[in-house]
Amino acid sequence: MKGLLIGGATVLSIILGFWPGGTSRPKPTWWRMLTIASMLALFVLALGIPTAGSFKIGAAVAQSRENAYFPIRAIVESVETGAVTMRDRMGDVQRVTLTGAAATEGAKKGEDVVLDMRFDHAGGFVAERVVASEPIFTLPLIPGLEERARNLYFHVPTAWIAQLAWFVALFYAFIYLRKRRLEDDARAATAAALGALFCILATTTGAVWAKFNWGTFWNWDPRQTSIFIVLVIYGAYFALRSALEGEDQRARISSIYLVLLAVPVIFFMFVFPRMSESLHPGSLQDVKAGNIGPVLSPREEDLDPIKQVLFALGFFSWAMLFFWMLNVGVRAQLAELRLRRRRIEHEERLQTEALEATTA
Amino acid sequence: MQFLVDHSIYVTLIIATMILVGLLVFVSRVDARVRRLERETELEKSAAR
Repeated sequence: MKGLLIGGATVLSIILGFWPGGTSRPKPTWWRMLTIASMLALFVLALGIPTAGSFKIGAAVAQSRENAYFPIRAIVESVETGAVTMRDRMGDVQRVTLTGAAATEGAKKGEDVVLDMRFDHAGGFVAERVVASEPIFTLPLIPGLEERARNLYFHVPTAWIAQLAWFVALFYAFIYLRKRRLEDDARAATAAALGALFCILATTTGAVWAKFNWGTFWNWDPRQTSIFIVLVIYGAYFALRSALEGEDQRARISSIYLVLLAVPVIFFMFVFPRMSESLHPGSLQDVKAGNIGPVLSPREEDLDPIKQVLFALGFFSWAMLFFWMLNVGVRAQLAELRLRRRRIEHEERLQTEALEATTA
Repeated sequence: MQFLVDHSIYVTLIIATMILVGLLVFVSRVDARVRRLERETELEKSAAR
């Protein structure tokens, strides 16, 4: 199910990325509206769906951080003055004292509610605020990450698009090497530029995450090191292009570079981080436990169903945005190429006319 | 720093909003400029013929 959802969304976005219009014709209005709508939907859902855990997870959060607040979803079983008895989704039943806004709003028997709580060693669970009543969906509360887990729906797709962009650039590099059309080189270069942009976005969102969770923006964690190497590989591609004179030579050598570096890029994105022990999910210790990463792992239980939907939407919407940017970038380059050729033809025509006039 | 940790959801929200809105606005504007450029190129080509 997870593979179908996330894989299906990714494949659909790639198909829609190349059709209609490909990379050289403007995308129709419905396509652009779909892209904007999917990005907005991701934005609203990823940031709007409340996070909630069970009493056991709440207690784990409280143990790790003094006076920590955590949202718990449970059904009210009975109501008394200043307190309620609640049963969470794991079947755990706890008495919860209501204070502050939670006491003012109160709760009804049978109500499915998410309450912001803390754990008082003397009095047990104390709820201070009602986060949501009868929520349709909630995201799982992960001890140590809590609300920061929302970064995942931006960080993970941008990293995947950085890899997708390389494959797209590689595809057009192959086509250039076969057909020797500068238009294909323009497509490859644009895809690579966007790949570098998404790589920077993935690195930045990852560094912000690292600051909050690991205490420092950068600590040469294997995953951070591998994305940095991919960024350097992208940077070297542009350095190579700018160092070469002549359109054909530039196109040929940079296409060969894309082909030769394809395997190292795949290695650094997918293999190297799983060979090393790391704080990042999907590292060696996770692989040994049978989890190659929450998204790639074939086990359903490695990723919550709501998160599966959000990741599917994330991959789809960010990939659509990538293909829109690719389309715009390629069209700009092709327009420039056409103008340059026309200028050259015009100059050659003028020279020919001048020569004929002189001869005459 | 502790303030940011305690309100990290808002930091995430601000960063995500800036990235998303920035990218969408950028791509829409560049798309409009490229369309204009393509229209002008087509007009020039027709005029040259």
